[in-house]
Amino acid sequence: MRQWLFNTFWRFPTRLLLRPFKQFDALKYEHAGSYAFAFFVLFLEALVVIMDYVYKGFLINYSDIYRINSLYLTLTVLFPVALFVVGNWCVTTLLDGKGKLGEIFQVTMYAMFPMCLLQWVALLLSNVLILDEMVIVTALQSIGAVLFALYLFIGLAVIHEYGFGRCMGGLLLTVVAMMILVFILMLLFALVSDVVDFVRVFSKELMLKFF
Amino acid sequence: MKKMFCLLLILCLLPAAAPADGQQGTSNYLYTIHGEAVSAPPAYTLAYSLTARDYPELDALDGMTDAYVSDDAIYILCAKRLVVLNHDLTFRQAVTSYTDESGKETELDACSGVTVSPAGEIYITQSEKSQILRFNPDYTLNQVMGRPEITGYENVKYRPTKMVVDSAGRLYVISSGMYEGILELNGDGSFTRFFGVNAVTFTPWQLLWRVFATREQRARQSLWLPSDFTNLCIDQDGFLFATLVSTDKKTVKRLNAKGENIIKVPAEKEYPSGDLWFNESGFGIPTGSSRFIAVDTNAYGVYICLDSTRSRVFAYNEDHSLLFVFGGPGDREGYFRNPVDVAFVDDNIVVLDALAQSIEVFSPTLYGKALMNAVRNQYEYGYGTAADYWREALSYNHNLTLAYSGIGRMLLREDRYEEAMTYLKMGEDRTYYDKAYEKVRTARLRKWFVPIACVAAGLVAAGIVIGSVRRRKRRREESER
Repeated sequence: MRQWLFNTFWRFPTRLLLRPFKQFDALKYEHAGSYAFAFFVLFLEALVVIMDYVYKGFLINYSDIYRINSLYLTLTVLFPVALFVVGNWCVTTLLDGKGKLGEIFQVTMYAMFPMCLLQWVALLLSNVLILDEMVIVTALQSIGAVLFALYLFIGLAVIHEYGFGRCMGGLLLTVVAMMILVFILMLLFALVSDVVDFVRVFSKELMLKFF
Repeated sequence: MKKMFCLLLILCLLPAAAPADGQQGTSNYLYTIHGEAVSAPPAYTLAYSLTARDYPELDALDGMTDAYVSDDAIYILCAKRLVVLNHDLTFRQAVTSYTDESGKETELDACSGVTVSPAGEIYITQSEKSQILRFNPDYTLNQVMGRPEITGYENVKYRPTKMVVDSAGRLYVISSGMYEGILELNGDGSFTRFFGVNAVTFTPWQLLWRVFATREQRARQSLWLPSDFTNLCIDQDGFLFATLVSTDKKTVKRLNAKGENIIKVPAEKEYPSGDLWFNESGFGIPTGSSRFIAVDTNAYGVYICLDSTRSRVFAYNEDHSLLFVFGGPGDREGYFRNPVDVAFVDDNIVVLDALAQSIEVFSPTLYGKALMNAVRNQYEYGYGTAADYWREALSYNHNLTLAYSGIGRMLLREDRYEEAMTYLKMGEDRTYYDKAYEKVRTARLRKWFVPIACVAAGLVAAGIVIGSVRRRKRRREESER
């Protein structure tokens, strides 16, 4: 048990950061990745977004903490991730990508791991730094974002067995797919709310007429 | 028990009793830094309102357009008369006509703006007659300034609506319909330059729309002209405050000698623009953002702006933080039907209501007095006294962030950094919180650096020792084996 914990939560992720090509390969062919860790990162990221809203250092925190909506903040993390994973899966399935849905999810979360860590560090630092030094916080956050993009790119290229150009194209198409997905979702919600409304009004009319 | 019950009863009755005492103000709210309206105690309430009936010397107070307050008198301009009052609002003189250069008695008519120079000369603009009348301090005519000669603008109508005179005797005149800015004239009425033009701004949407419009459509669109100024005043530092008709929220500007707006607010703060929450649409109610039509300043940097959309008066301090709001549209006491101008008279504020034909005098409440005294002392660098007044204001209004930051700044000055941090945090004053926190952090570092460093060094040393002991032990065991 201890060995497993050590391996999934420390050894593999850190190795992956040092040698991304080899370890993403291992994630695909040796099933070295773990859903436990993927969900753990997702949880950590959602948590850091919420914590950032409330506990970010006062000097750079302009959020109205009395109006916090932790569910909404969680969704701002969960929804884009879900959208990206599904969108990428849709596109790469059509483009001969070798990655499975679960693998795409794992890669995304493993790539998010360094960004998430840096965000936690930035959150802590924002509480002890003065305004002149807040550059460090923003720098950490942007480094995290760059790392995320980099590892995501490498990871996707490895699990889909794509070259550089193909992976780039795939990502661009993923963005398009995400937009289409959002559009369809909006359509679906509008339709469902119409149906619900219809049923509600209809039942009300029935009640008024017969009861 | 009985005492408790009595106390409770009194406490229950208190809120019900409050409106009855006549001290109930109007529009009592302030905005938080998140733009949320929170209620505040009234800072200024209606003291009394004066109509022509209160002045037997006057037939009427119809068509009021402008007010100017000099050091010893209040000049209230109606379309056909100039009324001069003392600072206690008692009557001094009324001027309805003047003797012009040819010796003919001429009635005042279509007057739109009045101002008084430091030397006591009175200027009255007559927009429809395209002229400015300049009177001596004894109300005899000195000069009639006609249209100034401006090359290239011979065909543009000259309608001087409002004006001010600065300490050097230069005249700043707003001519409605002249889009090049405020006219700066010499003392004799000759033209110097245009001043402080409002740059035309477009939204990206407007530009996109224009790209797709055909030539005919473009021709039929209204011209994009710079906005018109509506009112002027000179503040204590000699800068010009001007209100303007604008599509964006910047309807008040403070102009320097180059004509640039020097109201600069940090990104997290709102530009002084009146109401932040308002109805965008609706029927029978005022809609849209506030539109300032009059402005006045006092000796310590407070400026009050009159919002024509909702007939409210907004007061800001020199840092452009909202101090208080009063007024509102309506017929009741303390509300206005058609306010046209607002002015400070000593500690009081006077609002001219053109439709009600009345002069509304507002005086500060205890809360308002504390607030204004605090602002004044802070302006004059009396931070200690200001803090006392801020504390008093806080006892009336716990939501006054300005007061917390004022006290915090005082504490910072007295090197009480930890307390300063508490107050500055409540006052949302990040710039000064930063300064206090820097000091606190340095002190903490200085205090704890040596112990922490010692402990860390000790731990490292212990680790090395333990490691070497273990290694030796292992080596011995190996050699024994």
